Amino acid sequence: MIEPVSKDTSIVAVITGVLYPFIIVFGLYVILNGHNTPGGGFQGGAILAVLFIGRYLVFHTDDFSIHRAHLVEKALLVVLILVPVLFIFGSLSRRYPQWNEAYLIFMNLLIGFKVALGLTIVVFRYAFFEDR
Amino acid sequence: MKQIAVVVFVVLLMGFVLYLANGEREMLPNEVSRYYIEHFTEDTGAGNAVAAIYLNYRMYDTIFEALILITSVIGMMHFFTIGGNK
Repeated sequence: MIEPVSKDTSIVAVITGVLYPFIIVFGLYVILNGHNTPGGGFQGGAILAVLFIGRYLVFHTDDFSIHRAHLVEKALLVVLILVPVLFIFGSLSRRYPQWNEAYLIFMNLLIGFKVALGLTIVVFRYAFFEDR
Repeated sequence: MKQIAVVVFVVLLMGFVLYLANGEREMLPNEVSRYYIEHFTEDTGAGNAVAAIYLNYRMYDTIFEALILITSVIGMMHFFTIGGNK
């Protein structure tokens, strides 16, 4: 059982717990509907990054592995470069126009997770190393 | 003295670049934007012109934007090494 940082943050802890599912649903909504409505991968990723950051604001835990998150982010970047190279520059998008929407959703998901991981790594790096 | 020289040089260089760029007005032909606005749905299957542009017409821009983010993260991990409880 992880205790909050101090008793002053119990209100923040409760409100963050209440808001957690809404943050997840809203971030995924912005990402998954990015091709039809305003929003997209970058915006939804910024919303999803609040998950780990908000958790750190309440519980100052250090069980988040920056190294592993960075590995996942690099793997996502490789996929993020390979998929458009095959689909757009290989002109598959003209040959199979029925895959266009699936491509847009997949790319928005990739960008969203990558941006969320990137922002999380940036904030945690500050928190772990420059916390003077 | 050296710093003043550097400052003067940078200011002069900035003024020169601004002077060169001042006379130039790069205008895109109007057909491109009109084509994108009229044809993005059948070209890319998107319901949103912004998504159509940044995921299909201007894919290079998105790829290098993702590269910028990971470059900044790598730079932070390289330079911020003070402290560290991890």
